[in-house]
Amino acid sequence: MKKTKQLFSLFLLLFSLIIHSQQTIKGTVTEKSTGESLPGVSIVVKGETRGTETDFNGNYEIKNIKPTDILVFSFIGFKTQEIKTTTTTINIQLEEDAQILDEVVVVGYGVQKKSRILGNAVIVNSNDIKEVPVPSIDAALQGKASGVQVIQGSGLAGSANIVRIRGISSISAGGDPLYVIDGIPITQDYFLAGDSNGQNNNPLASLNQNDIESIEILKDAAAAGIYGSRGANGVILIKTKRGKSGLNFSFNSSTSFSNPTFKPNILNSNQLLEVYQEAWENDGNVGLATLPRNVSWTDALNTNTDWVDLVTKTGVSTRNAFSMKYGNKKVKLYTNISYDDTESFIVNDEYERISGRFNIDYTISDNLKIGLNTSISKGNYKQVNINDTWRNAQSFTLPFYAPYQANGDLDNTFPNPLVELQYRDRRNEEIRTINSVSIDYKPIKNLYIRGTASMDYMDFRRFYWQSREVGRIDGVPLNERNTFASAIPTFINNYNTNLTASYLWKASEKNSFNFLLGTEFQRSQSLFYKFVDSSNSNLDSVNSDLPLYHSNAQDYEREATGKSAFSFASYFGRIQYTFDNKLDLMVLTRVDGSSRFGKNNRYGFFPTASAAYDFSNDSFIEKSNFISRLKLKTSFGITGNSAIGNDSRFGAYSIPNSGTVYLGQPYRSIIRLENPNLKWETARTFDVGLEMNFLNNRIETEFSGYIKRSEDVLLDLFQVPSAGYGERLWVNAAEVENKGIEFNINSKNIQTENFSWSTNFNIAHNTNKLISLGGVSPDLLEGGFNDTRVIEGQPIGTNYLVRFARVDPNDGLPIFLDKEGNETKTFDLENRVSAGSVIPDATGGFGTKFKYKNWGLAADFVFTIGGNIYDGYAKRALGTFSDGNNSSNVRTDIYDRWRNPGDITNQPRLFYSNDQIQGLSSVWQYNHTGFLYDASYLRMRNISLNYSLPDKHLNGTFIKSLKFTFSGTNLLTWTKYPGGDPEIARDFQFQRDRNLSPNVSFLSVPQAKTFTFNINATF
Amino acid sequence: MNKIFIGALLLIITFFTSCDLEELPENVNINDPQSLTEIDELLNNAYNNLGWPLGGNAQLFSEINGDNINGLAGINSDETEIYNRSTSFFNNTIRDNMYRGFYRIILDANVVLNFLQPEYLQSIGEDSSSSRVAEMRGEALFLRGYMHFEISRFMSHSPGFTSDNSHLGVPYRKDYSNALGELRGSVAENYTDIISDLKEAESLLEAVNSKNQYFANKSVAQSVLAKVFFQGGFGPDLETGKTNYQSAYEYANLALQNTTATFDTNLYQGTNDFRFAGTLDASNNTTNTENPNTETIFGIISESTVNSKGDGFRRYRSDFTIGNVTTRLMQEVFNSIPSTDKRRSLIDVIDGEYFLNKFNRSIFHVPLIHYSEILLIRAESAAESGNISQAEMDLNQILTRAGLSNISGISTEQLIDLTRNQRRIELLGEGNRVNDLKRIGIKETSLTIRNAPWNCNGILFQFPATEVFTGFIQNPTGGCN
Repeated sequence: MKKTKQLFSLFLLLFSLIIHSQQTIKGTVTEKSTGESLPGVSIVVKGETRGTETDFNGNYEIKNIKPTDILVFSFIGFKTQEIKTTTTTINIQLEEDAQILDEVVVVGYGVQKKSRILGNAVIVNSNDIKEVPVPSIDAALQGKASGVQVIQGSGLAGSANIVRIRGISSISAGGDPLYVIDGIPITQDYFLAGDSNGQNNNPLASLNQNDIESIEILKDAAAAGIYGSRGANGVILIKTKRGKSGLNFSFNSSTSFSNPTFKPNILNSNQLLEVYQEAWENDGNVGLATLPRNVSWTDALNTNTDWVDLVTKTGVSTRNAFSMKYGNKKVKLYTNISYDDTESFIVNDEYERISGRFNIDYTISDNLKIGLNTSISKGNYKQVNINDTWRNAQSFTLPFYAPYQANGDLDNTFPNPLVELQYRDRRNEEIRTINSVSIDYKPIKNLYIRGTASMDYMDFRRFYWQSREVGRIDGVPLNERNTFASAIPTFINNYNTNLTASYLWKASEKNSFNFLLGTEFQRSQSLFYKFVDSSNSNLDSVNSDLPLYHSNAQDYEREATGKSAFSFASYFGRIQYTFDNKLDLMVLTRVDGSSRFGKNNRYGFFPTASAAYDFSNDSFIEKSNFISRLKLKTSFGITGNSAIGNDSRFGAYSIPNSGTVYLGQPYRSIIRLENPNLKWETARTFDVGLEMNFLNNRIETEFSGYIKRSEDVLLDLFQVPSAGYGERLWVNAAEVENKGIEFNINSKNIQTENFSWSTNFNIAHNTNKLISLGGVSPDLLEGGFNDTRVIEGQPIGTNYLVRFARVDPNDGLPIFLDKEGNETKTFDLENRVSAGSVIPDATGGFGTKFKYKNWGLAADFVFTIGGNIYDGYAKRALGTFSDGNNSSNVRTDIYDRWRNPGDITNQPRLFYSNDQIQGLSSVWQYNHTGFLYDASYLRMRNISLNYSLPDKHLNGTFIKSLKFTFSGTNLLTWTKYPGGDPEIARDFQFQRDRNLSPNVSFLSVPQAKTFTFNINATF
Repeated sequence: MNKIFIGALLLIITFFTSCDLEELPENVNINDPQSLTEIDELLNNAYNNLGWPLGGNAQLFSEINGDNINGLAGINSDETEIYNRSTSFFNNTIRDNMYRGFYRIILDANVVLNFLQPEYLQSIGEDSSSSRVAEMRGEALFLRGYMHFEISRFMSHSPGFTSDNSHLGVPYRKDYSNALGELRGSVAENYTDIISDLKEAESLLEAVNSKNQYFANKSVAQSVLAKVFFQGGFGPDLETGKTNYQSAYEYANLALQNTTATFDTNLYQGTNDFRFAGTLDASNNTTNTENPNTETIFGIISESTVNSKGDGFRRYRSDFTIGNVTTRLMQEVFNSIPSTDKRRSLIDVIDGEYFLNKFNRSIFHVPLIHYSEILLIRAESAAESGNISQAEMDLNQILTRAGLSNISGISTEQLIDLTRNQRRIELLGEGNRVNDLKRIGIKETSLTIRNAPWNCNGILFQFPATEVFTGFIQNPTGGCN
């Protein structure tokens, strides 16, 4: 009722103004940098209270203006302009005011003025990620924020990255941050496709880069604490684009060419035969060396196959996106459709994605708004097995092997990559749709109620097919030749609902409060299937002449193989108190319940308290010409982690089905023992931060430090083999500490009409220590491919190796150190010590941007200082030859080897057989620090040059802007690591590997070196 | 309008808070067995798992460890460690897998024994005194004893390696709920446990298994007891008052008397008759016509390609393209077989290399204990115990079938040598040889295996790293090269 009165009086006011009109001024207000219209710009007559606002199309009209009046145009985040009313049409371009800090940013379950934020949050805007195609959006964060370590997966299409915020605090449980898209925690399972040789499924690959408005990284408890149990590894908030006033179209198209950053430096046929012979003779053999597979020397000398060349190519990728934004008083709409076809440099490795998005906001009434987000994408990932191609091509498939037999068939008596390329077909198909509907309701003044319901649905299918031809070339009898066709569908349905109410209470001029209460519920259910041949339901694979995704393939029955679900409920509250725009105090608490824990430990309690004091308005800052802003903040909070399997706490028996019979009788087995006491992994974090700006905010800095102590860290333990259980047992046992400091600085060095130059730099140092493993043997955490381990008092991911000392100049044999540090020529795994760590001393990035008239030049660098890379394949590539017939090619580094008595080198003499090194039982055991390298690197992640067509060429056309960008990714890398690309995310089998073993290389696929040409047009 | 919205919101809140967050797994059963039938299904799992270690892998690794296999080609890197007799505690995947396979069966047996306790059976309303309960108990004890015996032969020396068998054996697991490690028992303790389990099984089992003719019965337990005492060979008496060979003889004799298996005179006669029998019909199932070989006292049955149990033996197949991992025999084995011996045709000579063709089929049943083996145990035990006529009689059955002339009146020493030689040929590829050598070495201390002393450290397999905890003593390493 009150509102109606207000409106009525406003009408009266306007009416009275019209009566006294003298002159009417009209015009449009646009944003200078984009040319887009700005709605809601306030226009007032200077010195008076009269004024208006621009409408949704940026238009305004103001009456009763005297020629002497001055109009003041102001809008939050933009520089205010004062214009004399000399004409009746005044079109204004407002310029963004970078100095204004009070932009509104998204925080957990709400928005907040940036100046009032207590936590440590970093925002990456779409402008920073728009023109450079990245394999997936998380890759765009690399080097952008201090303390956020991003290890890019590889150059493979759709490859998954590792993102670790403020170190590694989990061991067996997932260490990835929580990804929240428009308020929805999305499904993020890296192991949907199982362990697949470094080709793990990337849950973020289906998200379209073009749809992203901004990405925000919440690092500390004050920022991420509201996410309670899921905030321990940080939170990444992704906001998609929304409609704006007016009607705008945008078209973006790019073409990229990619090659590996590193071509394996392996030997050709003649070179390899030479070292082979030398190794043979070194071992005391005479005559010509026996070649693997009994290849004759004549054949070997006449064959020189470049296998790497056969499995690589220049990948050509295209990306096209078309989007529309529309807005009027009631409706705002954003829609986008895009088609990407990404080829990597590996033959037959291609990721195709078609995606669409539709975001709409509808204002029903003054106090009621409804929003709808929907997106759908279909990804087809055509894969090849990386072991069978990239890895074998530079290792077990030797240059003196010929691809074809004499009869023209492929030779399959060795790991021939062409068999994989020609006769096998692997494909992952993924359909994903993320939908949400939200209601914003304001029943009374200052009370905001928001409810959201969402559904994230994923249909993920893995296909594998092998042609009958493989049987033929293997000489399998005709009636035993099979194709192997399989399809493994997984359907994941993830529902999320949340409801929040926030109330602003301004108690007095200087004292204000902001209350938030909320509840959230999530349920995710995964359904697993396989396809079976109804004539033989026992087979995991079926005989099909075509891959099963093929429309002409025979239909097979789908059989459910399992179901897994978790549900998650939360209740949370937050109170923020602000005093005089100087002091902010906040307490929040969240109670989370997860079905993954038993009744006694189901709910966890996660409180956070934080405080910040802003000195900016204090006189000493206001008087200073140098310092323009100073803010101190601190927080303490408890967060948690529950990223474990849904059914980990249950003891279990298998359920017999028709397929599991022995001698006609069904059988059931005990799978695992129960752990009713399983509970939350928790982290206690203490943070301090200092924000300081200088020279009228042209230089912004932030310095922060933290101590994070994780307790009850979840361990997925092997049970001793004699217990007989195959599955692991989850326990809460370990304790981990992370300490770190972070610094970043952004500066606008030059800002003139035509020329601007800005730079940014950030660096973070984190130390990580395993305080205790709770009495558990580290070996019980082993298994899998990881060569790193956890050792009390050492960082997580310690390289545990025999120490290599030097090469004996007399005989060329390697000399190792025993546990006590004495030199020995006996290789003994008992002499392994903590010799290095995959965790770097510091990571960071820096970038610079130049803008001159219509030209722009930008470069981004990322770096890592310290830490180790362990080259897990060097034991073969620089080691011994004989391993039955599994001889490996070697790297050119081997040319530095010892050859004659007196040679001083770090490369031992060549060996044919591992028994030349005393105690070495197998070539695969030859892990020592000789293959441990400094992981430091500096990489020019990206350099781009852009040109925007000047407006004068576009006038009169329908095009509003046209921009060309030429960019190069990973063009330059400086590293001491000789084994390939220094950025390594290996073939992970478990979450633990993602935590422990990033920097362990095993013929890992390098990053792509890419050139991209991009056109962006708006109209 | 507003009231409707607030009402709807309240409804949603109620929905949220009323959830108890219980998500039960669906593809597994979280309940303990609720009937004897379900316990029987758990027991069946143990039989089904026999194919894991004993479907060819354990036999192959045992052969590689001995002197029948030429390991210069045809074996993978983990197997090369076995061949070089230097298995390390670190990541030997195949060893780890075999080790766990044996203990998996032991786990299944212990689970069954746990739920067969009278109190538990009563709690689920089953009669604890039924004859099937007793038989199932016998089967579980049999499997537990048998599997401990098999794994102990890889991980420890035969009885007699120390005069009181105080040398270390394996952890003897009797409790299914202990997920933690257990210390190794001594060989004396191991054999006491093994014999006690097997004897109890012998007393509980029927002449023919009431559930399935291929499951354990009395003669099966007696056969394994014969093998256990035979392995005890020259060591201190495992049963007071009798030498181990006397005990082995007695149990072999009982087993051969009680079993329904028969000596297969058709073997090696060029007829379609194989010890590893079984072929596929058109729908990929084993044909009904080809049953397990009549000599099978106890074995694993391959029902279809999906549950094919002898895949590990495919590594020998010479009817495929010879590949990187096609197992080769030592030339010396071939040469030791006289050209008149029909069993020589079990070896193919291809490009100067020697391949065993007795597993040249896509699917077959695996006889784990068969008549010929127990017959040879009886022969050798008889000879060792001075019962020469029985030894000659048994051995002549084997010789006759192989197309060789019978023996009589040769010295005891010659008789024993001949029996050992026949064991090597008759059981080629079945994983026996190295265990025989480790048994014989107790007496003939200068024996060598592929130029290394029979008792060098590395002849034993090392325990997997994951088995080791504070106090657990690993095997000593090295010394074999």
